[in-house]
Amino acid sequence: MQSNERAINREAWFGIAPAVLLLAAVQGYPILRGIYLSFTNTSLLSPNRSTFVGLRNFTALFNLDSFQITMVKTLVYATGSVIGAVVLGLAAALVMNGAFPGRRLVRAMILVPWATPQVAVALVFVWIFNADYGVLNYALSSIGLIDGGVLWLNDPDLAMGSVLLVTIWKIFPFSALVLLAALQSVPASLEEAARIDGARGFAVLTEITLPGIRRTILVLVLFLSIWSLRRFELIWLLTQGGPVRATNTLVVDLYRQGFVNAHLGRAAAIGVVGFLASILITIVYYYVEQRSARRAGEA
Amino acid sequence: MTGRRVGGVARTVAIVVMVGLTIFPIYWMLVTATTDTSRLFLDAPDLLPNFGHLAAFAAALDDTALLLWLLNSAIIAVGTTVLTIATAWFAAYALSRYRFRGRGAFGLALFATQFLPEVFLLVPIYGLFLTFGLLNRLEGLMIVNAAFVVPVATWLLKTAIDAVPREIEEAARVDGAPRLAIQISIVAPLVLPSLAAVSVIAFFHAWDEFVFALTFISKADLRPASVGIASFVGELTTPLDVIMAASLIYVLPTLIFAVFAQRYVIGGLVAGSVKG
Amino acid sequence: MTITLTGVTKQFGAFKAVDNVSLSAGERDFVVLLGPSGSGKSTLLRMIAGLEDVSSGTIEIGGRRVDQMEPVERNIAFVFQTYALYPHMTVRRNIAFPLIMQRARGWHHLPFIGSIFKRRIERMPEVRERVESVARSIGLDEMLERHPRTLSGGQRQRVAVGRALVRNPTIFLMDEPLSNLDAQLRVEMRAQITRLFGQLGKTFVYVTHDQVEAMTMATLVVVLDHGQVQQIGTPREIYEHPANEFVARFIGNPPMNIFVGRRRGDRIAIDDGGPVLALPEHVRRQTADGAVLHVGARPEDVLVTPGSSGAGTAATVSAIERLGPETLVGIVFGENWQRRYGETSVEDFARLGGYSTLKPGDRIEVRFNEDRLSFFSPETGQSYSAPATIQSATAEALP
Repeated sequence: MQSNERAINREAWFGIAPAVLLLAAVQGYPILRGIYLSFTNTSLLSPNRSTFVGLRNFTALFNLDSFQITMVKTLVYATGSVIGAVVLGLAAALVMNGAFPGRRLVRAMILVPWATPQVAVALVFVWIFNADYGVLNYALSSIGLIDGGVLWLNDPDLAMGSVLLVTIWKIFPFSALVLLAALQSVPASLEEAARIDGARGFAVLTEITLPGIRRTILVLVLFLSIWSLRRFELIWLLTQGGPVRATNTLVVDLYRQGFVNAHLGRAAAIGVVGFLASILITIVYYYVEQRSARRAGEA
Repeated sequence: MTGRRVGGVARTVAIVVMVGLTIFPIYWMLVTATTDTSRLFLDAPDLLPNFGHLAAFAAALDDTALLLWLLNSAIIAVGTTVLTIATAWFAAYALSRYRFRGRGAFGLALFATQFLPEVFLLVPIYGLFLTFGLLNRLEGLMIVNAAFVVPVATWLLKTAIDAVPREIEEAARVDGAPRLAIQISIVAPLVLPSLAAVSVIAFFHAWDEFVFALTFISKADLRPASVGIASFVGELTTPLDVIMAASLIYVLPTLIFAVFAQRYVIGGLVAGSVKG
Repeated sequence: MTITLTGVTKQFGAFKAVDNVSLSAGERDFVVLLGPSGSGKSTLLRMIAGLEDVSSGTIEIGGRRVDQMEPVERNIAFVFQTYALYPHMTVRRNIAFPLIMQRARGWHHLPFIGSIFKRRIERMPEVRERVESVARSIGLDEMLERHPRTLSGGQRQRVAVGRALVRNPTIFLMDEPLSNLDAQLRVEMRAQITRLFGQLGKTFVYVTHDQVEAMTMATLVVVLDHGQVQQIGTPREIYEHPANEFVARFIGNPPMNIFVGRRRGDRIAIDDGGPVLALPEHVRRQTADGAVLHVGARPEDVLVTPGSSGAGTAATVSAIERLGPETLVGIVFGENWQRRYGETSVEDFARLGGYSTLKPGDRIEVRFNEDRLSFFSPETGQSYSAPATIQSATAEALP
């Protein structure tokens, strides 16, 4: 019996060994190294020479006004992109739920943003947002909404909104399709029963349908939040965190500190803060999930 | 009755608007790529593509290194896909079929990788690759990309293998097939849609990836398309229509995938998330 | 409340799921819509409920035309095959849900904020008392705070009934409510629904494919096939005087035995070499001499005696099913009786009371209860109706 168990362990470990090796090398070791770097004053110019400086990188960060701005920008970006993607995704899923002609085509079309590489997304949106010749300004001014060239990406008041717009455009297809699958798993008879019991349109949605996909929404919010803390390329390619830090989220700040200012230690400290934020979100998620599962009698 | 019919009209309008906004940027890429440079900077832009003007596509292929970049991207993407499948398959099978010591820890580790910002790992991995001579090597990018796809891939494949009845494998065992042969010739064909989904995800993760390639590749002739096309920005020599034509060529494979492979990919992806 | 359907049709493209159905049910009728799957019975029920639009025709409940109304305005209750309990609500909230919907304002439906108000409505004395008295009446008062997923199949079914009762609807609609229960529970719940019907004294419309449910519960059975009404009548009329061959074969287990007969003067000769039987006067009036008819005999009207004394037609036992209180005897008729009905050889059955000692291969003699046979036209399948059943025999006639 015991040898059997040992054999199972051995076979299983043979199976996961390549993955463990790969993840240990390219994720595990780097994260430990990254955490270590956050306690040093390592510079990009001599990455192998480092002095231990304790918590100095962290205290320096939290004393910087600019880092507080970064935290606020990160929060705005995360909240905005998650709410935008979930609300828009839900609306799209509700519209697509059920049979209509051309349904498969629409589902394929809706995937286009999700499939388009970020570099191409950034390039085309920079052009669409162009103040003088961009099609967005042209469209808005020809229907009289604006007067003259709006600096979508170069106005500190508008840049975050513009970056959010592009982000939501890019990620809402994912939430739409996840939510659509969840909606289709809610039995039609529940909604019919609610209609007989006197719930109308909006009430059926909020009393029956949304509670039915509650778990999916929670998981979706968790992943979208974590991904929004990680998202770098799109923001970097659109604004490089500017103008004047208007779109400077944690990861953008990290990249700037490490690769523009060559201060690897401080960059690593920013990374640790971001990592902790992700863990915090997960803890909150578990708390909310447990509580609402208990309320719904699933626990 | 009439209320429901109005609902139908409103829904059609909503779908049309949604799809329109969704594909507009790609449409605009096409319009820009097929418009002569002299007509791009007008107060009232041309709103329709001009298929008589395809010079920008020719220029993108002839005057830039686009073909070489695409070739590099394809090599990296294929390598990433092979490495991902080879690694994730056995891990997924073990997770699904064995109750082994360390199983929980391994599952948690897979989940934890979702927390790590790529940019945070950029520097330590750079140091590592410097030591092992993997900088300026396409293999290096394959390894990094695979490491970021393997957790998702393992999870998707595990979910799929979970759905394969054990009886099928037990029947094959009774017939005397060795374990490894069962995994590959019995189980794998049954989860083919998920394997396809994972391949597509791995391929396009690598096709899309930018920041590692930007940092690890300094030789111009090893650049993948993402870095190459991004390099158009800021340098002022390439005309806008050529940039858009190059982008469109770069985007095209992913769009074709979106239209044709969506059923499998979304199926696999969504099954994983809804259950998770 | 009475229910009157006039020419109700449901069309999906070119396909008619429900085809020109007319029927009327009285104040205290238990109407069972009975038919094989795909017969349109569920679609018809869903049209009465308002879950499905009517392509043409009208539906009246209590003399009021309802076919353009929302389900809730029709004041009906509906018990679903899957029960459709709201999984995220307690039993109490499930039963209270129709009452909460009656009292809630629009903004009470908003997520999060609305839950406070919904709880307040749930605690209003008149709501609470109503919910608890309904729960008591169906034996669920101990389970009000539990969630549906923790209940057994039978308990879930009762919650579904409770939710139907609480609003005090005028009509109860049920869509195969017992089909997800095991056999024993099904018998129990059947009795409970019948009792409920007796206590409430309201109109029930009940969909099933199970003829036992139809025979035991209904006051009025509507047999449907291919979207069309085959017969409307009491269980007894349907069984004893099937309007056509479909009903004859669909109702009864084993189904009615059918033979091909040819009229010879005042009598009818069965198949080639079969017995010659009496032909009732009303059939003689509707047919000419020499006409070909289909003759139906219920298994209990096929009389079997062992041996070969020559009193009946010789046959052999092909199979025996002893069910306890009765025995089913499969019959193969002798060489010189050629069965003519059906494409392949049809096995005929007789039903004997008690525990028979016959065994396969035994020689037997067969006679018929000649005054209880049914006669059908081979062309239309319609029965040559007896004067007593003429009112309920055809689809167009309303009882």
